[in-house]
Amino acid sequence: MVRPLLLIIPIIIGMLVGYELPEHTELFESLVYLFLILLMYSLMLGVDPGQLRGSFANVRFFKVALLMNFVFVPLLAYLLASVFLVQHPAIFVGFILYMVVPCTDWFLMFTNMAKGDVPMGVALMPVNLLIQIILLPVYLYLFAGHIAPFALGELLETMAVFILLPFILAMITRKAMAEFRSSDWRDDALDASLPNLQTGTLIIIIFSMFAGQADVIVGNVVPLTVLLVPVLLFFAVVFIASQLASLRARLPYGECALLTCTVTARN
Amino acid sequence: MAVGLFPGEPLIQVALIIPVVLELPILILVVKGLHRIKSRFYSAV
Repeated sequence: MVRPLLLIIPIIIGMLVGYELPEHTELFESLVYLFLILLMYSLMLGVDPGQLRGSFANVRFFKVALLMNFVFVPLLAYLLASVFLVQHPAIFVGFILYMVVPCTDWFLMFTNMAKGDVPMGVALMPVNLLIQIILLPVYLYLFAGHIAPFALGELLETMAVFILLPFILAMITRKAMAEFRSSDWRDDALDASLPNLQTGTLIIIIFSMFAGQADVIVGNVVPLTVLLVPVLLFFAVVFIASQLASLRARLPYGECALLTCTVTARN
Repeated sequence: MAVGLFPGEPLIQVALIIPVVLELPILILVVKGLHRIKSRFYSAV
């Protein structure tokens, strides 16, 4: 298990570095993308394609996850924004748009850290991505009165870069490692090396993310305080709701952890 | 991805970025909470 302090330190260092070097924002953002791809690759390296086929057949989990992500969460976000952010129309729109779009990348790392069902998470990623791209123009229109076209290019790019590319590379690596020695050797080698690789990658992502956004955070203390209560309430409610939904659907722990992470991690 | 849809609205962009900052420490807490739930309620599984 990754120690929380190990993830808090890069937040602090990232903020300090980003504040001192605001001209390097683009570099830090590029690092985030690059290392997110590496993180996805390392997570998919640990996935047996056989497990993946079984995951797609788990209709019960998909029903619960999609209902939570695309019905419950948008309604909750709208409710919280209506209660806390009506006085701030721009923040109202930003808050809702952030909350209605589920994360399609690093939720998998947190699922892994929580010992959740990672192969099922890999199966869920393209489904989440496809539905959010279809629904984003609807959310924009409903919540912001903003008409945006269906972002097919965005869908294909994200699907290719964050899902297909790391998945194909991971499967090639797994096959090559098995042919080089044996499947058992590969599994042992991956078990021994992946946790450190994933932790190191996550630390670099967190550092780069905070370094890239430091000036935005420091320069916007008022919106930060305005957002604090609804954001914290949102995360508390979705955590409890995920546990209740898991109980009701009788999900095993791995799926409960995955559900909690996919519902909690936003775009 | 939604940040790019509002180029002339800095406050919307800020509201899209700031929750990310709050989300990370929360996800760390979520992972810790899930470990507790696992040992408390799923230990027999």
